[in-house]
Parts: sequence; C-alpha cells; structure tokens
Amino acid sequence: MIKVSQPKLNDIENKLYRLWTNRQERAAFIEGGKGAEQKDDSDSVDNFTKSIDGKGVMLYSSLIELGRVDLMSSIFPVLKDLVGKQFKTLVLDYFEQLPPNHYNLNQSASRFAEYLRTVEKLNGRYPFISELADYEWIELAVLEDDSHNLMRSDSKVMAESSADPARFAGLKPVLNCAFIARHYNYPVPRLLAEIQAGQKLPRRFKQEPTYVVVYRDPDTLDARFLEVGEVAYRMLENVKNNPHTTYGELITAACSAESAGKNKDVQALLTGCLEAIDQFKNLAIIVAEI
Amino acid sequence: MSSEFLAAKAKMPNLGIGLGLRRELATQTFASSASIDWLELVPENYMNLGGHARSRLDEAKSKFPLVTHGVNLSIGSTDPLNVDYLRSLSNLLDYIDAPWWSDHLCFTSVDGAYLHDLLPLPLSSEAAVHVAKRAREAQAIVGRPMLLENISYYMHMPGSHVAETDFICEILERADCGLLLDVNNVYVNSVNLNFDPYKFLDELPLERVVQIHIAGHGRSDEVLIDTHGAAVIEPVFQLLEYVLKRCEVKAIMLERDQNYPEFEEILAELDQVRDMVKKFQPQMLNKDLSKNAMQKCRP
Repeated sequence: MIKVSQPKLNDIENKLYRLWTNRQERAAFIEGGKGAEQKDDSDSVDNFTKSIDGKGVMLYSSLIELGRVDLMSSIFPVLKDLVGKQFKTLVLDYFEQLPPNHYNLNQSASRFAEYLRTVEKLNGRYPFISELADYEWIELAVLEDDSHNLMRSDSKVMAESSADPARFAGLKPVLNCAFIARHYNYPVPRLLAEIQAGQKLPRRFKQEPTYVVVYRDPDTLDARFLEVGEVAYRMLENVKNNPHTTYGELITAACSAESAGKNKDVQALLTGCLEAIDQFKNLAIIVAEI
Repeated sequence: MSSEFLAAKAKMPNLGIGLGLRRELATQTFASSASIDWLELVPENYMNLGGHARSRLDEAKSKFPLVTHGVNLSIGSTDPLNVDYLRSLSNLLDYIDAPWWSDHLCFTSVDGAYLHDLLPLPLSSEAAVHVAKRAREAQAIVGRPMLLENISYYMHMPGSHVAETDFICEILERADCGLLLDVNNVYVNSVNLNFDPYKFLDELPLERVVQIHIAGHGRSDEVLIDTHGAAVIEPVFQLLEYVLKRCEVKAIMLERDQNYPEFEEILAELDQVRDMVKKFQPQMLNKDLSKNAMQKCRP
C-alpha cells in the first residue's frame, strides 16, 4: 500500500537541489522517474519523487548550469580558450565537487584552482593549469578586495625619503592593502600571453620559478600585474607578514638571505633592493611610509 | 489585526521612479540624476567589497536615495539564517540610510551551498510558517522594514497545496513585513501557469505593497522567462496601472539587467512610468527625502 504523507520542506529542498545540480542523479531521475539513491527507500518517498515535475527540473538545471558556465567563462577566459570544449564539463564538475559556500556570486570561482589540482589527466597535459586558474582568479580577488581605496602618499615626499639614508632606514613601508604576491612553478604570465595570442603550446612544459605581484592601482582601481625577481618577492612577502618592518630591517634580511646563498655581491644586492623599493613606490605597491 | 509594518509604511518616504544600479550602466545612470529619482542596488555586489564597487556605491550615495534588493537572503531555506550576511547587509543599509530593504520569496541555498538562482518554494503551510518566522528574525536583526518579492517560477513544486496568493498573504501577515510586487513576474507566471493575473492581484494584500518592479522578459521554447533583458510590454504596464489604482505605492523601479539598449530607451520607459504615476499616484513624486523622513520610517 502506498503511504500518502506530505514531504518535509527540508526533504523537498534537498531533493530538488540534487536534481538541479547533480548530473548523475538528474539523469537517473529522468530515465527512471526516481533518484538513484532512493530505489530502496519507502513508498512515500518514492511517491514524492514521482510527483516532481521533470520538465521543471530540466529547465532550472539548465538555467543554473548556464549561469555557472557564464560566470566561470568571464573569470577564466584564457583557461577556457586553453581547454576548449572540456571547459563546461570541468565547470559543472567543479560546482558539484566544491559547491559555492558564499553569498557573493564571484566567490563561487575562488576554489577552481584548488579543484583543478585534482584533475589528473588535465594536469598531465597542462601541468601549469592550476596556476593559470589562480593567476586569472587573483585579478578579481584584488579588484574586489575589501580594503579601503587608499590614496597613495605624495610621491614626491616618498621619493625624497630615499635621499636621507639614516631616516630612510627607520621608515616603515605601508603596502597597498589590495595586494597579492604569488610564486608559481611555471612561467604563467608568458604562457597566458601565448594562449591569448593563439600560439601553439609545446607538448612538454619546463618548470621555471616565476614571481608575480598583483595589486589594485589606487588611482584607477584597476588590477595591475608585475613580474618580479625572487629577492623583491621575498621583500614584499616580508612586509606583508611583518607590517612594522623598517626599510633597514627589510634590506638587511634580504641581503643576509641572499649572501648566505649563492649571491655574495652584497653591494649589488643592496642596490637592487633600493631600486626595487623605488619601483614599488612609483607603482603604488608601497603606498606610504611611517 | 494591528500591524507595525503598515504604521511604518505610512511614514515611509515617497521615492518615485527608480532604476537598478548596474555596473554596465553606472556612468549613464549617474549622469541622469535629473531623470531618475532613486536607485536600487543588489547588496551582494557591494557588501564587504572595495575597489570599483565601493567607488560606485559612494557615487550613487552622493547622487540618489538608495535601497537594496538582495538575492541571497535565502529566506525559504531550511539552513540557519546567515547572520554574517545579515550583519554585513545591516552595515550597508546603515551606510546608505535605506528606508527599507528587500529580497525574494524563495530559497537560494541548501546545506550551506548557494545556487545563485531564485528557487521556488513549495506552496505549503509548513513553508509559509517557516518563512514568516525567519522573516521576523531577519527584520529584527537588520532593524529596518523588509519587503519580500513575489518571484517568477517555472515548475510546480512538490508538496504544494495552497494557492500562491494565500501563501504570500500568510507569510506577509505572520512576518508583518511588506510586499515588493513584481508585476512582470505576475504576468510571466500567469502565462506560464495559465491563470488570470488581475484575479491574482485582487487576492494579494495590496496594502502591504511599498515598491513595484517592472521589467521585460524573454521566451525559451514554450516558457516565458523573467530575463530583465527586453523592453516592458504593454500588458505589464496595464498590470502596473491596475495596481496603482488600488493601493498606495512608495516607489517603482525598472529592472534591466542584460541586453542593454541605448540608455535613452531606458529613460523613455521611466518617463512612461512617470506619466502613469502622475495620473494615478502623484503623491509618489512629491519626494520627501529629508533625513528626518528617512528616519521616521524605521520600526
């Protein structure tokens, strides 16, 4: 005898969620009229499943999928070009594996690089793919970063600070709040440019440590990308992790680390650090000094 | 039955004819403050965000009265209310000093996973009681009057056993909140689900309508879809007129979210609405937007 009972709100929402977002469960529902996991369940649940409007399920699932693919296409246009027709499948699988956990739509894309690390076949062909996804994602992360739209200090005043070595060494650089530094194993900026230009990529990719800084321009609020050397990258990471570090401490740490390794030319290192700091000020990666 | 909400509605400011703040139209929108009375923004696009979003918000605030229309309160979800979301929303509403805020009568999340789509609820007593309880809680956390919008939907939800108008009435009365009446959604649903939109409007608690949405829609196979991507059609304007003859409304807003036309076309649609409002509810255009009036409407 078929039990007739009203399904609970929670059961309805959960069931519809799975049908709208899980391709396997939806296919089983459309083919067999019920979800795969419910074959052994009670008659009342089976009856509930049978009462679900199949056309409606298909319409909503297509609207949800369309929205997801559109979003990811807008955030990862180069990766989409790279993988071609696979992109849609990757996106839908990603959303099944790591469903959005934030109310902000764009945040749905924040774990795509993490997901791509788990797709073995794709990593075999494109070992840099997760780094490429990260590189495309961090542009949006910087653009939307919650930090205040800081105005940079008077660049003339900042430039003059370098002229007095004693005073300069005691100053603390203030980093642009909307700033991300990355160390990639592959030359992602170059690969991205090659994909964008439609160049044929090699069959094999050689690892090549690459250091990238992405930050929000305080004047235009646009994202800026800058490839930097390892020493400059470490200096910026140092400032970020230790906001009260002075220029003197920063340069000393950079020179000590380098001279302990292969680079013994301390004077050249010092000059390089000072030049990098000047460049960071000019580009508004360092926005103030205190 | 006494209603704090209806008492608050009487004190709410008349905002007039507004437009949705969209990134793609922001420059033209800001340059047209003489033709647009107020702006509605999607709070999720501005909550806890810096950069261009913050800059756009600041400019909008400097030129227009603002209200928010959220998409991820997920009032019908069986998940716990997202208190972090509500606190962030509350901060935004304080910043823009919104006279009210709104979201959709739907669910958008399940077990903490967001679908980023407006999903219909089963039209049941259980759902109505559940939503009303959460709406009261949300309204209390935010501390400003809340409106819920009737959505367009494209499937019959299992577990439905009451009329949609009864469902809406029960929620609004139990929660003591307002209705954001989307007349395009009424039209789209009436075609897709084959009912009389005028009878539907007659059965709604129109005294709780504070704000109206109008929009255009598209067609996919046999179904009308609420795309906000086309001009408003005449039957939707007729529904708007029908409502304006029957209840006092504080604000009307044109939704245009894609397939953008020349901005002049949008302004012309706003003028068409304005002409109708002048005829049936001229008081809506007597804007009283002083800080004092904005404060008075708080419950």
